Amino acid sequence: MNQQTNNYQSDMAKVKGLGSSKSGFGHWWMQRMSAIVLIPCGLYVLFSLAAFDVLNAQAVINWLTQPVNAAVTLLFVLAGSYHGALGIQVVLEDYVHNHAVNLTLRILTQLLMIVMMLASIYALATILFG
Amino acid sequence: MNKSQRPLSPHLQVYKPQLTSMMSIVHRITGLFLSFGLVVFVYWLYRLATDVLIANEVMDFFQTGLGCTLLYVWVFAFAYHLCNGIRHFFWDVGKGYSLPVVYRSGYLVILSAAVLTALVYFLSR
Repeated sequence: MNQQTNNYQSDMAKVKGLGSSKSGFGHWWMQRMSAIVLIPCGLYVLFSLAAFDVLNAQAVINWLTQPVNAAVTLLFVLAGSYHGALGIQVVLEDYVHNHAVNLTLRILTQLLMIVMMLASIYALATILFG
Repeated sequence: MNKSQRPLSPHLQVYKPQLTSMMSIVHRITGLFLSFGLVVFVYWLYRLATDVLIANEVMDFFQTGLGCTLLYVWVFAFAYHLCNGIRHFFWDVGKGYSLPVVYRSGYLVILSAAVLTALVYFLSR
């Protein structure tokens, strides 16, 4: 029996180096945590936009100058980009078996995620403070 | 050994389509589709801050027949992925694994997603 309470691998599995690469749980956990953020934030953004009387750029900009609306929208985009990147990574792992292509697509996914995060921060900061 | 020519598990083509497997693959497809949607959403946010004319053009496109259809496919994809995600949370804590419950929660997800989409539709009229 394994004496450590924080490791569920058998001793033989540990010696052979089988099983977890030690990083999978973090991926699984963050996917869930970002999902919990996305449920209220996504619904808030969706129903706020749906409730607009006149939907044009100026009306949305006015809505976004309310700090609460800007904050929830930012949280929606940040959590959404992250959640999306985590999800695409799983799809790539499942269906793209060429290692070089897989790695390239994963790096591109992560770069796109960072660009989306920066673009949304810039956009919302400009609308709020610009 | 000719690795690349061998069929890949899980051999989807040999199984009869079932609600469970179809809902699982739709969860993935909606997830990918929503990721693409978020790219468009961020582009639109960026244009709201930098060039209002282009932002309005983006919004004009989503008023056209094609754009509006695309928009509501996105709304439904969002609603479906959200509801099925909540179903996954129940599985994560070990609840709802019996076959009748899996089917009932599956139908509940489809119904809830349709209701949410309808709510957005009538709210935006």
